[in-house]
Amino acid sequence: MDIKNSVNLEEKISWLNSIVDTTVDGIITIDKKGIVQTFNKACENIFGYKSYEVIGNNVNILMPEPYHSEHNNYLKNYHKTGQAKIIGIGRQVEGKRKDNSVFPMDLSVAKVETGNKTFYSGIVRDITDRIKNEQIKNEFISIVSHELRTPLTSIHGSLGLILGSDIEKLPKDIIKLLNIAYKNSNHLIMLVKDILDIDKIAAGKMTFHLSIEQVDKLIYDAIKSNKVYSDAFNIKIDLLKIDPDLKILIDIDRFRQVFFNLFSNAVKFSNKDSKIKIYVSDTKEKIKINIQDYGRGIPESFFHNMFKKFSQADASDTRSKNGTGLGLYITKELVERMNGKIGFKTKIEQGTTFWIEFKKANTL
Amino acid sequence: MKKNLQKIVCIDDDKDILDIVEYSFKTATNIDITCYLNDNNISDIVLQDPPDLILLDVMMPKTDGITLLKNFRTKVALNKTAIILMTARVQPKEIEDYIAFGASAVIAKPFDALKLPADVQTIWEKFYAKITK
Repeated sequence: MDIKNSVNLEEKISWLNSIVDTTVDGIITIDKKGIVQTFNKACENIFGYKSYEVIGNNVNILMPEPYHSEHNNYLKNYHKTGQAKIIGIGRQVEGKRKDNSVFPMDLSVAKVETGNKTFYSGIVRDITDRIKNEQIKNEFISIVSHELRTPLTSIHGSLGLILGSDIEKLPKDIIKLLNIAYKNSNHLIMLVKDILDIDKIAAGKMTFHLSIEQVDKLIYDAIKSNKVYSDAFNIKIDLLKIDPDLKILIDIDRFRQVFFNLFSNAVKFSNKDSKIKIYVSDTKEKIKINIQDYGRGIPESFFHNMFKKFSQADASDTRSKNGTGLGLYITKELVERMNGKIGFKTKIEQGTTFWIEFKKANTL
Repeated sequence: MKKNLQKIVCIDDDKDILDIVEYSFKTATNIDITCYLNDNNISDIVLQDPPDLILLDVMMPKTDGITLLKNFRTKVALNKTAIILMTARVQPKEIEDYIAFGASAVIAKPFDALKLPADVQTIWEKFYAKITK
């Protein structure tokens, strides 16, 4: 059957009907009063009704309360005002099967106008399994997080206590081994935290409490919190003056996390006893925060991996082994979820500048 | 009048963590600290001789930390006892809930065993200032 070139109307109708009847998703059409006009095979499987039991009845028999009682009003309100709760939008709702069991479903509805008649076409997908799998996954992550963090507490705690006690009389090699174990237990703790952050971001479960903040205050506080880290490597901080009137809409805790990731990278890739420069530039609408190191720069071959998971430009760099390889990936996700942008410029043997950019608060 | 933190009870289902907490306090302070594996008698033990402060794990089999916390907060004998939850479950909403249930503060696991006594002392001083206002 050559449908494209066929002039046979019956053939075309037959073709369309077979598509509707074999699709995996449910397709329901209703008229302006909510009376079911068509109910495809997938709907029969999803709801447990035969099509003849539903066609001619109000579509609200497929809905649990309160939607069952309110649907007619939704339709009337839409015809009167044009305000759509679901038409043209689509969202997750609840459906009711013939056996009265309630289940989660994705529903999208479109308005169909043919001649002088108006219909509504709904695409339905039973997402019970998907929700259940998400719950299982979330519970798994929660349990794993607890089960990993509990022994880490003991390992990290006991090593910390040993190293904090009088260990000078121990052989140097033993002290070195204890430091290695302690450093790696810190690394594991960071890795567990980063993996959980990534999962939360991917699941859309990371919450952001946005507030308008002064950029200078944000940066001064962030530098103060992280200065111990740069002091440990004898890296000086060259902070240029910041206009106190510059403000951005940000989540303070997530900003601190972003700043720490970029700052610690700048320290890691700086030569010892060198400096990091931090400066802010702005245009009419945007503010850019720049963190510049004078280290070895990033090879061009690594650019496309920059913000990917578990990527480090040079795995042989002993200082870089202190990172989890997830920092830049998480940083980019956090910045973008706060409606910002991130980027970098670099030159081999001259250094790298990472920047993050946000709209000025007064332009929002 | 400032009351010194003198007696702490620590409740957890992990013996290693109890040993670390006990060592942490005994090497750095003169505070009387007693550690208990969580069992059915723990509420009676605590009520018999109410401590100044309880360090309480959350995820425990048998009776979990939240159930114990809610139970402790119904007891008049523990009105002047600070209760600190120690847990890896520290999402903002979870912390809000812990405080609403009566926790004085939350210490995230893994914690720094060297800093633990000082952190607990800070929490105690804030708690005591609040209850004696």
